[in-house]
Parts: sequence; structure tokens; C-alpha cells
Amino acid sequence: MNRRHGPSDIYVKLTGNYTEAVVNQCLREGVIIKNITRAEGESMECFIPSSELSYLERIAEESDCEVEVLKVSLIEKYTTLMKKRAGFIAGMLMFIILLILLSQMVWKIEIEGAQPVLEHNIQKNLQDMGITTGTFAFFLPSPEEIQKEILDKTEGTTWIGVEKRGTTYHFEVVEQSLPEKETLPAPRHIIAKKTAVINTIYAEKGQVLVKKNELVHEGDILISGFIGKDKHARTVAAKGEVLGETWYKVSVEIPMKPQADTLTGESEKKYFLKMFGYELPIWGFSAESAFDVYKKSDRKYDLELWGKVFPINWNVTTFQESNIVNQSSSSKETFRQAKHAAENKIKNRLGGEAVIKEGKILHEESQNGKVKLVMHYQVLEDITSEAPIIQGE
Amino acid sequence: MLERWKQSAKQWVTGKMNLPEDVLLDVPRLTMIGQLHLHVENHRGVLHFSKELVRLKLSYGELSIKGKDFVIKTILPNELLLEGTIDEVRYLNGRETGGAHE
Repeated sequence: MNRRHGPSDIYVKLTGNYTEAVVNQCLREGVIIKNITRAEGESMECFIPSSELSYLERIAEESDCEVEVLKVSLIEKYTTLMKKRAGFIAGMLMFIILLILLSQMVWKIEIEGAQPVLEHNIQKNLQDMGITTGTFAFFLPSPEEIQKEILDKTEGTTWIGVEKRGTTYHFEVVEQSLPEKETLPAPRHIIAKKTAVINTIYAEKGQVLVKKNELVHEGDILISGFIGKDKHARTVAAKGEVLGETWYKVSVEIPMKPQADTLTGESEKKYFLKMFGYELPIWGFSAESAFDVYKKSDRKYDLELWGKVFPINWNVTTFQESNIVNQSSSSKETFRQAKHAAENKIKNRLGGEAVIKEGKILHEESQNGKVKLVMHYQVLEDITSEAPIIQGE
Repeated sequence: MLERWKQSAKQWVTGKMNLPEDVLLDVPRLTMIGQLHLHVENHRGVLHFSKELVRLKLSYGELSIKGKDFVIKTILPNELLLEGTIDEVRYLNGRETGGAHE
């Protein structure tokens, strides 16, 4: 209700004998007048929309009044100002247009996940399609279409993902990976690694020279690389699996009455700061002398900052009270433990794929509180080893 | 004669039917906010306007408003918003004065 005046309103002065008549006539004709004030003498000042100035002038003339424009409207004021500063306005518009244009340009093409050769190919194909840095994005087809086209054009790719990130085109390439051709190994024999009795033979390539249950020594040829006879003779890389039975002798010795440390649960802690090799105790001065028998464990906290270790560290030493308990066990139990230990020992020596076929006790003896056990194992294991055939023999 | 009869009939209807008077009767409706604003509806034009005195034509008689620093904020064919310091609002009935031609 109390709005002053709009941007298109002008401030006019009416001078005449009876200006009220002009106001009344304006009312009748629908010319909107606002903020009417009486100026000195017979004149009147008011705001009217600039588009209605001609009506007002006509009405004023009819009533012998004069119209004088005191202030132009805000719009007019700014348009004249803009005309005065035409260069500045043009520069501003240019800047905005340039900004929009530059933001629509392709500034960078990223290709990810391709080998240099493939990357070069893709780059060349993109160039053929017109996708280079410096082109306008609105001339280019949509990423989906680009994806289809580049995928058709480029060989050696399984998939290319195209993504437009602002002014960057991002290509994610998944290369086709063909299975690599296996290189043919050089001609060779399969020989025995150790002395064994053959258990099973499976030859993939080559000529089998040994039979089942045959004793072979280290270095004996199991599967020969020479095949064929006379003029058909040639050499191949022998391949196969030979399982042989081997023997191992293991001796273990364990005490009858093993000692064990048990913790009572009581503990004391000692804290100290270590600086440049000097110890500075902080707390727990009497921790060390608290127990007669104890287990000691240290924890060190280094002061580290931006990857550098400072020569100051915080140490916590824990003293835990312990008891030494003599565990007594029956000779049967000890014996079982010894056997178990022997089995572990042989398994460690053999590694993964070997199978223990049979274990026999060779010797058993208890002496001076100790049990001595000697075991004999029959083991099935792979005994193959490769020996190259030197050509021109 | 007919005019006066019509007028009294209107008055009777508004009285009986509990209607607001300004709807049927051709009388002005004044809304005053303190001394600051005066909102006049149903006026018939401005007879006189100066900083101290405003005279408005009504259907019957005229309205004289006295005060200080008057500004006509808005003026529409039927409405008028007057701003200033209003001291006095007075109805002048009878013959029109001021020599206004509508």
C-alpha cells in the first residue's frame, strides 16, 4: 500500500490554475498518479508511470496546465548510464559469453587403463571422430554415441566407458586380454631327485623308462625326452608326475617332567621416559622388586611426527608374577607326545604335497628323565626333477 | 420526490437486513490510522488539495480534512490514501462550494 514508486515512474511537476481538475480527469481516464504533494504556489508534484506521460500532457493542456518532468525514471536513468559506459557493459557481456563458450570447450581427454600403444590408437580414432582438445562440446555427439563409435573403431578393447566430466572427456578402457601362448620348454628328461621305489608314474610327454615298484637312485632317468625310433626320433620336453616311496629316520628327545611357567595374575607396571639413551622413571619405582619370580615384557611408544621418529619414547615395562610348575606326566603320555613331535618334525621337512604312508618305531628309550624315540617313516612324494637334453650329443 | 423515496427505501433495507451501510448507500467509508493515514473509499473526486487542507467531493456533500503535510499517496477512481498529520475531518453538507467543476 505504501510502495513509493516503481522503476518506470517519473517525477513530474504540474503548474496551473486549478491542478485538482487535472487529478480528477486523470482519475476518470484511469491514469494512475502516486505521491501527490503540493509544491509552492499553484504547482503540484507527483509520480506517474513514464508510459502515461503523453496522456497527462494532453489532460493538462485541456485544463491549461503545464507539465514539467523533474526526474526521469530509474530505467531511463540506467539506460543512459549504460549508454555512457557502453564499452564497460560490452566488456562484461563479452566476458560472460567467453566464460560460457570456454566452459563448453573440451579441455582435456583422459584415457585410463590402456597400454601406451592402445592409448595412441584410441587417441588417433578420437581425432578422426573430431574429439580433440579445443572443440566445442555441443558439436559433439552424446557420450553414449561416442562410446559406441569408439568401441566399433578400436580393436583390442573389451569395453570403453565414456564419461563427460565438465570440460574433460574421460575414457576408461578395459583391454582385451588374450591367453598368452605358452612357450615350449626346451627338450628335457625327467630324472629322480632321490633314491626311492616308484609308486605311480604318469607321463604326459616322453617315454617312460621305469616300472612300478622299481628302485631308482638319484639322477636316474624316469621319463626320457627321446621319442620315436630311427628316422622318426626326436626330442621333446618330457612332462609327468612320478610318485616314489622314500624313507626317513627321525629321532626326537623330550623330557619326562617338563617345566612350565604359569602366571599368577599379579602384575606391576613401571613407566619411564627414555631420552637420548637416558631413562627417566615416571611411575612404578618398586615394580621390579615386587616379585621374586616374574616375566618381564616391554612396550615402547615412539614419538612420531610427519614420518620422523624423535629420540624420545615412552616405555611401559610390565612385571607379571609367575610360578614355575613341574608337570608330571605318565610315560605313556610322554611317549605319545614324542611320537607327535616326531611326526611334526617329518612334516616340516617334507613340505606340502607328500603323504606319510607308514610310521614305525625303530628305537625307544627312557633315560635320565628323558624319552628318546627314533621313528622310521615311509613317505610318498614327488621325486621328479628336470634335466635338459643337450643337443648334438 | 422519487429520489428521496428511493433513498429512504435503501435505508430501510439496510436497517432491516443488517447489511453494512456502505454497500447499498452511496456513502464514503473512512479508515483512519491514528493521525497518520486516512483511507477514503467512495469519493467522487478532489476539489481542493494543499498541504493543510483537502476537500473531497462525495455523492452527497463534501468532506473537508484539515491537518499538516498532506501527501496523496495513491488515488484511484474510488479510493484515496492520504498521508500526513490529520487534525480534523468534517462533513460539509448542503450546497457545494469551491467552484469546482467535476
